Amino acid sequence: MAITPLTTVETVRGKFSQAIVEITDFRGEQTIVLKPESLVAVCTYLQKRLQYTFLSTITAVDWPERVPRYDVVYQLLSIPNVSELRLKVRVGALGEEHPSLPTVTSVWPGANWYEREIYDLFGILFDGHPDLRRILMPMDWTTHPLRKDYPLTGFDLPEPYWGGQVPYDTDPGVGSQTLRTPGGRELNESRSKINPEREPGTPRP
Amino acid sequence: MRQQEIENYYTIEESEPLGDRQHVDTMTINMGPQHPSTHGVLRLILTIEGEMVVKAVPDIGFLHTGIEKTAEAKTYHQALVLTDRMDYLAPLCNNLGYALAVEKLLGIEDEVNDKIKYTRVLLTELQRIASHLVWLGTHALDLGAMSVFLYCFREREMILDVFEYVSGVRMMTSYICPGGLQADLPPGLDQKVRAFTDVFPARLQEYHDLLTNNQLWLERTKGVATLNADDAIAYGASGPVLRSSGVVWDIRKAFPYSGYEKFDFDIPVGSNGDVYDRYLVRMLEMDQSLNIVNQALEGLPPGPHRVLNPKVAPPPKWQITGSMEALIHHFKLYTEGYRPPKGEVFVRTESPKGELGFYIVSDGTAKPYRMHVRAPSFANLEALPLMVEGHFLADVVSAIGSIDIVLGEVDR
Amino acid sequence: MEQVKNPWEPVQTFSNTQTPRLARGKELHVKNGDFGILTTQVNKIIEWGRSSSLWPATFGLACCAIEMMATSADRFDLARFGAEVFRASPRQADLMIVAGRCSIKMAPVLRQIYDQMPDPKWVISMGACASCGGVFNNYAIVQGVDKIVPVDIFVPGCPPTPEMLLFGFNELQRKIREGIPNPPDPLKDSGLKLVGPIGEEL
Repeated sequence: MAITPLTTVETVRGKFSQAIVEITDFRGEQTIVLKPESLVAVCTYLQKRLQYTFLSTITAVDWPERVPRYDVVYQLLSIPNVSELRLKVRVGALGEEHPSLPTVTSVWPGANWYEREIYDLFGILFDGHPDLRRILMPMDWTTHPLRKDYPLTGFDLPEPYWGGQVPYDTDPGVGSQTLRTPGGRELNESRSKINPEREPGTPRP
Repeated sequence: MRQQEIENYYTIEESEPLGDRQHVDTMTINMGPQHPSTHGVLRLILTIEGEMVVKAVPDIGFLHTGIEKTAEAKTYHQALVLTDRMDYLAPLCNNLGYALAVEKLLGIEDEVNDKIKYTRVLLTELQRIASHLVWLGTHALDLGAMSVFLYCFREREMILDVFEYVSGVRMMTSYICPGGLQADLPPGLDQKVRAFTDVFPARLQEYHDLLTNNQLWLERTKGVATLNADDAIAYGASGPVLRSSGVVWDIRKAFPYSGYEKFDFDIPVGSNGDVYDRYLVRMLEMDQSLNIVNQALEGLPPGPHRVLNPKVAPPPKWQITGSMEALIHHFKLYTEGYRPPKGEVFVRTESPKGELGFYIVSDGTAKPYRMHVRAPSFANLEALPLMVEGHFLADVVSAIGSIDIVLGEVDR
Repeated sequence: MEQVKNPWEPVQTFSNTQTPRLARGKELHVKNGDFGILTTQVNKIIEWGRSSSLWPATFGLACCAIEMMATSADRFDLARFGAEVFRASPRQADLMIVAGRCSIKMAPVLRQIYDQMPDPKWVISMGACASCGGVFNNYAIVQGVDKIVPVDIFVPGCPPTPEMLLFGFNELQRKIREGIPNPPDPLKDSGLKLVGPIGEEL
């Protein structure tokens, strides 16, 4: 049986009838709105059984007046069947600062950066994400710019912004190694441990 | 595969007598954001052991422009100019993706006539060649071949002359807009394009002669930075990166848009997924694009350059000068914009870098409620650590060049 | 005895709106205790030499970088004016062409690269985004790099054509030849500390 968006929707409806909130069809594009707790189960099923192996993108939409506030949108693609599908999850209780949602990096490893981007720009947390850091904004940024209540030109910051703060105090680093520590700001972490008297070029005591 | 390579490397190291070395030292080095080979402002944090890269962590965002947020404050027509500046090597392909998405949202796909479709195909395929030429020039420059850069820019200037003739601008044309084209095609365009298509096959052969069988080029590219098909799909890599791994996938064939189903062309596919295959796939793609350009030029039908829907397209100039209603209509269309119905669309197109997707949410007003761009370079760059870990430090440059990232699109 | 004047003392104050030109027809040799003809002529030769062999740092940020590459390629050929030696290291460069939009994340890097360049040095702000933010008046983009580094020449356009960049480049050469100094450093007297990735306080 050929897998098309419509048959996928029917299959998911049959298999996960409890998980579905709503199914919409706009301009021929099928959208399944899921409950957050069953997201990973549905994604795993789609990836393993229905060959939705290609994750096009994940993004979020902010609806500040609505509860739940955010839509998290997954665009799936099945390369063997030439079929596309959109999944949607609604998160964010009233007044919740950082709503959370299970990660799908175990299903599609490429989801890693998309989820980091959503965390960066919307402040949505992904439980179980291996490396949830900011990706686009500076590491010390405290706000989430793509939220609707964030002004386009940003909040009033000292002018120039980077003069008052230190944009580089958090370094992504690799494992335990970082290019510099937050306090000392040396070139390398181990540099502070070097005895200057033992450094090359200095006479031994 | 990659894990195996790293393990092999360590096994060899451990089997050797350590001598006076007590342990294997790793060093963390910083590459970028100002580095000539990072094609913009990419920063890589590399952990190296000797000459071998053990871990690579890309750090992006140095060109974060807030395009998605800015688009929410513009009307649909104004947001078009922002899309030019994402993938700045292929502005017209971005315009096309955005225009198709807005047209789908408006539901006027069927009203777009063949002249508009053929012109869009003609220009975006020229743009694909131009983008690949810049890629080839800079990639070869990174690997030490200076003259290819000069040759590639020579041909690119011919394409930019065509764009300048059509739209008045060399790079950021914004020529393809929702509802058609910004202006009618100027007379004599076919001669301009033919001037390019006549000389280009010989020039392309010149590049093949320079590089394809060049021993130095083969040494730097063959078997370097391999990416297998499963990894490429799992990480969402698309475009030439995916095709070089052996996956036959081209949006132009799978989801034909803008009349691509009427054109006859092939999809070049690699087999090894290394730098050399990516190079060859792009080189052959230029050939196919040239083929499409010729077909589009031959089949270019006459017709209006805008859809005839008054909700989207302004009245023609002769009406504006003669009729007050037409003038008011024109004024309102450009100040207030058009209002698509509530809904959301995701349209994917094949840009030179890969799958370019526009996700636009409309809340029924004249401004997009949310515009998200699925940038091909973003996903391709995510797969970079898979390619370079376990390889030599010098091959990082070759890998970055081969995936053809544009940081304007990665960071948006 | 009269204090010897610093030869690098600004001969004219900087104007934001108009590039000042030196008065023509000034007598070269006046016996009033100033520098004599030899010194002024040597300065002229030095300035001529500097303006004719500017080494730009490869500092491409965004779209304008592609046009900058096109400027250095064969059709427009920046080498005609002695500036074809694009240096990857800022330590070997004396001209920074800020080509493209500068984000807030990139700003400290930009400043650090400027500080790493040896004196004398010049900055060309290429394009609307680098000069004033361009179409991107938003939270992410620095609204003009002249808030971070002193900019000698602003080249408008989005992106400027290579001809425009060449014109801006020629104007910079004229500024150097006529001894017009750099504009004041925007961060010098502001009391703001800029800390770059290495941690030098500037």
